[in-house]
Amino acid sequence: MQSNKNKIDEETLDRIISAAYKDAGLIERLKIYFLAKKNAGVKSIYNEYRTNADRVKKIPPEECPDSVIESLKIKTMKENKFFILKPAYVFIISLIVISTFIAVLLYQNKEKKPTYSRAEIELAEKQVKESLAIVNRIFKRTESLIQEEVLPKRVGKPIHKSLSIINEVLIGG
Amino acid sequence: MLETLGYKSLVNRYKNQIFSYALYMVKNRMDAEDVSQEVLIRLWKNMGKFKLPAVGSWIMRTTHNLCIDYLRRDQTMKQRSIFIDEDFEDRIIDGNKLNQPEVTTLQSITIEKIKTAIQKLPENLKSVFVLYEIEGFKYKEISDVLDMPLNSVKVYILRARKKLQEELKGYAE
Repeated sequence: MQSNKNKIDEETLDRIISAAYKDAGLIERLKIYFLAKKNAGVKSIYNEYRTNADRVKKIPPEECPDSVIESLKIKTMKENKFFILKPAYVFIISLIVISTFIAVLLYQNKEKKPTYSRAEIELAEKQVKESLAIVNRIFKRTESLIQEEVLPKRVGKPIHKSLSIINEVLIGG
Repeated sequence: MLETLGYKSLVNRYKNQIFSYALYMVKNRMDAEDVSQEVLIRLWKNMGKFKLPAVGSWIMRTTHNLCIDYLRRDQTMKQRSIFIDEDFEDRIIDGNKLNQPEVTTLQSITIEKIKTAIQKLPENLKSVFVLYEIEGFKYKEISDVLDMPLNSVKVYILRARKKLQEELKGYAE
């Protein structure tokens, strides 16, 4: 084929290839057809290219393996578009979530407000009074202890003694 | 919801094209699967950002760019491709068919050998060739996908066909 090719110029070869691959128009293809009838070299080259052109055109696209699509499902689910929403949507969704949270908190607080019976309140008041009475009694005892024991004996006496010493020093006798 | 449905239909429509293109470009199934997955994840992330008529070009451009990234990144690609090519042929060649007398030497070139030969094309020729011959893209679409002048697309396809023919001649001899 190399010798045939040498006899045919590059432009003719390009035309033959285009005709073989059916790229050329009908008239051009007819021209090559008649040229091939007259020239054995052209015919040989045309046939060779034509054979391979037919084979190339029969090649089916490769089947994409299912594993690619399966792992794609997992990856696209992970990178779900919900998580890359526009800022406005994020703001609205955040607002709704926070409002709901606050509402739930408030509702729960209202619910937890204790309700007591009258008897319980009266009992509590009585207990408070008793406690206060005990405290009062303690304070009264403390007061009398301070007035009767602490002040005269522990405070009054030393002060009186100190003053007498000072008088003795100052007046001299 | 509508976006998810749209995405699913796009995946079904383009998954094989993406995988097929990636397989020809990166030459091994594992990387082709990775590329396909990455393209489909990017598609998911960018849903709604592109107009529907341009989605095909967008997908194939992304696939092409990722394949180029993979090829540049992988320093051991050449060794791996040799291994994969051998594997390819072992799986594919139908020995019985080769022994049939009516099958000529040229016809013995199986589709899988053609696939291997396509894989051996230089990157720039291969991308154009695969998009045009295997994926069925038009010149204009390829020009958009690969960001290449229309005339270059035509020239590259022609060169790829010649190169493929030479490559297949090697198999036939």
